[in-house]
Amino acid sequence: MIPRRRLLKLAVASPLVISAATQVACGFIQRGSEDISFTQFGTLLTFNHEQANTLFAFSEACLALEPGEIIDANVIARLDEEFYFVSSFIRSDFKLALNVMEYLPIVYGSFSRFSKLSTIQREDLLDKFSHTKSDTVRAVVHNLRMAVMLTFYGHESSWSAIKYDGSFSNIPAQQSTQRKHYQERTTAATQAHQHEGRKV
Amino acid sequence: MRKSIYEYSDYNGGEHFNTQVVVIGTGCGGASVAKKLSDQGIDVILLEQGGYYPSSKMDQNELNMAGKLYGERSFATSHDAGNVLAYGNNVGGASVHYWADSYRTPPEKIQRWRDHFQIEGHDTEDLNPAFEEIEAELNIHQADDSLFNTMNSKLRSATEALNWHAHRVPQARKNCLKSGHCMQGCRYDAKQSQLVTHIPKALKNGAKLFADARAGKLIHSKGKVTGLEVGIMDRASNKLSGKYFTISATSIVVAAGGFNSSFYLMQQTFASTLPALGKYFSMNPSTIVHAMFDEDITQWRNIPAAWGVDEYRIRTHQIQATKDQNADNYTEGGYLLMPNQLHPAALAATIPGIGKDHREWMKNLNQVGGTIAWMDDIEEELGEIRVKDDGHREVFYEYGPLTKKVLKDGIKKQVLVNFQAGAKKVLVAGIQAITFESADQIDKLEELKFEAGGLFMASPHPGGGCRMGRSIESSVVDSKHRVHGFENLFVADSSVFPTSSSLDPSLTIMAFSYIAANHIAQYINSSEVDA
Repeated sequence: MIPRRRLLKLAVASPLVISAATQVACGFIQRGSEDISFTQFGTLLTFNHEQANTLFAFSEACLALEPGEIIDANVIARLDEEFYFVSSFIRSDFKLALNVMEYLPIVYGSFSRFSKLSTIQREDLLDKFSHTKSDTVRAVVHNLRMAVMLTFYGHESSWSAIKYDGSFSNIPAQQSTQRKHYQERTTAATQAHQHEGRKV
Repeated sequence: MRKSIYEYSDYNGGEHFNTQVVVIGTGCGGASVAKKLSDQGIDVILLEQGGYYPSSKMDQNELNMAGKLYGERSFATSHDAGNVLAYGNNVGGASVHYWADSYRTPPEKIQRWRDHFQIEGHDTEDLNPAFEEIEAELNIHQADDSLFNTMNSKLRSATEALNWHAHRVPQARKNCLKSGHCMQGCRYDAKQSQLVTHIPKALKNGAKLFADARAGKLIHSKGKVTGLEVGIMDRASNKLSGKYFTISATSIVVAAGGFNSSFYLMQQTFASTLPALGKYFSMNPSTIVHAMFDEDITQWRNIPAAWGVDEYRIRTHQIQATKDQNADNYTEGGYLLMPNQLHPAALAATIPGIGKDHREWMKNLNQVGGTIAWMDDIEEELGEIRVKDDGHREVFYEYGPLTKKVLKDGIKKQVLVNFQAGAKKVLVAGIQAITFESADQIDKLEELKFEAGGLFMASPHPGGGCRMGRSIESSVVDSKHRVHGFENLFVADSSVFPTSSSLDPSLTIMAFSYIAANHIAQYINSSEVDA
């Protein structure tokens, strides 16, 4: 989705970004697609804590919603699920894009990581990133933005505010074999984690 | 009753099957070939790496259906993230989520392919019988007034006022309920996709369908394929299960679609002997313009495109006579205009802006209409399918100088026609979020930059990569759809197109595949096989 070569070129722009990208790259190798993280957004199989936090911060700035609306739409968990099922190179690029986004403010002169900025600061930065001359930065913003928009506005909790009436025949959403698989895996991981916690 | 459809839960691994023809892919190409071969009593196995989802599995939910019907759940893009690649990953392929637009191949394309690329046996008189048969089979007919939603009606009025040539779009539908969920798969079996036409007919003829079955290594020797390995998908995890089965066959047909057929053959390491493999790739890059109206548009109901505007379909240049058509002498045109139809998730992804600006458009989504321009790819500026070092597919497509001019002109005409249709505000789908308050501001389009990820575009009409032609240096298959250097390996889908087909390619793919089926049947019944 985003050329890996370009992402790495961007990483050269900052030692901190290099460090971050390296950590993420190592994480891909060590954990692969079976990564399990227990986060405030639930048990995740694709993103780690930091990536989930960056994604949430990005979503907040991108969507301009009332507090709680992103949580209602399960944006982080739904994206975690979507990227669990795509090819490994698309998943890796998306995760790398999140990590680049987290440290990008530093390249642009801010002394804070993306997820630590206020919503207004994040909105301003995203606007700046959207108009940058860097193909890679624009591609990072575009890809993250597209995924967040698809996921948030694909969830029925967002529809009443935009007057979308959903399924033409009011057909209830059907859980696919893959959605069931994801749910079973996260539930099993959560239960195992809770069991481990009780033992400790 | 004999079982004809097999899914992931039906395989144990280690099975071996024998058949006359294996068809890899079940979209317009593969399903049409299978139907025509089975009509002649030829034993066929259809392979599909995606799942089998009949209409009862279609819940009209964008994200749910993207997970079932779209390759990479709609997250695949071209190399620079500029184009979303929309293709099928399910039984029936992209025909299950396409718009049902069903055009015959434009005459100038047939002529170009014959005269310049020396394509034989695909002339008007060869294709017409196939067109007629398919049109009857799929109930293809011009959209009547009942199929015009508000945006289609507005576009019709606007083009009539501008005196732009336009037409009712031919549709493959039967008893359409106008739900507007074409892109999520038709719940009512009204859209005449392969899932409800060629595939059931092939199965009735005795063909077998193996879903959740990914074609693997081709077994071949001295220019003859004898079978292949098939990886069984675990549908739950969407990964290969590690189990395999094998098929022996007299002939194999690759019909994995424009994004994947050349990729599959490259995975077989055929690129060293087929230098044109993956090259000359087209995809009808489509620019999108959103328009805000005072009244409700509700673009997501009724059919997507009942009205097509072909005033600018043919590109024009100042120096026509010399045939020296380049960016310097480009005048205008080179695209088909249509109303757009998207549901909220895809609309949100293509409406530019971040934060409050974007939210404002979303809050008024019911009043948002707009158009799309399907660009006829420039022959000299085509893309390429590549295999990266780690084995993944890359769709490389850079915008050349003439391509940029055509895309820009397509956006310009869309801005103008939307204002003519009564729009109060028009927005170009791109990261720059160029907004127009009136047609007088059209010069703002000069601000448009063609940068990676700059325009939000989708490309559901791939072609090329296995170009048809005479020479092994510049093409992959001959006019019999046979891969150069092989006696019994064929390709039957849009990847054989020498250039872009200009319009929705589904009917062209099916007609070409009918012709391919005749050649494959001739091979099966010939002395070559006995020898």
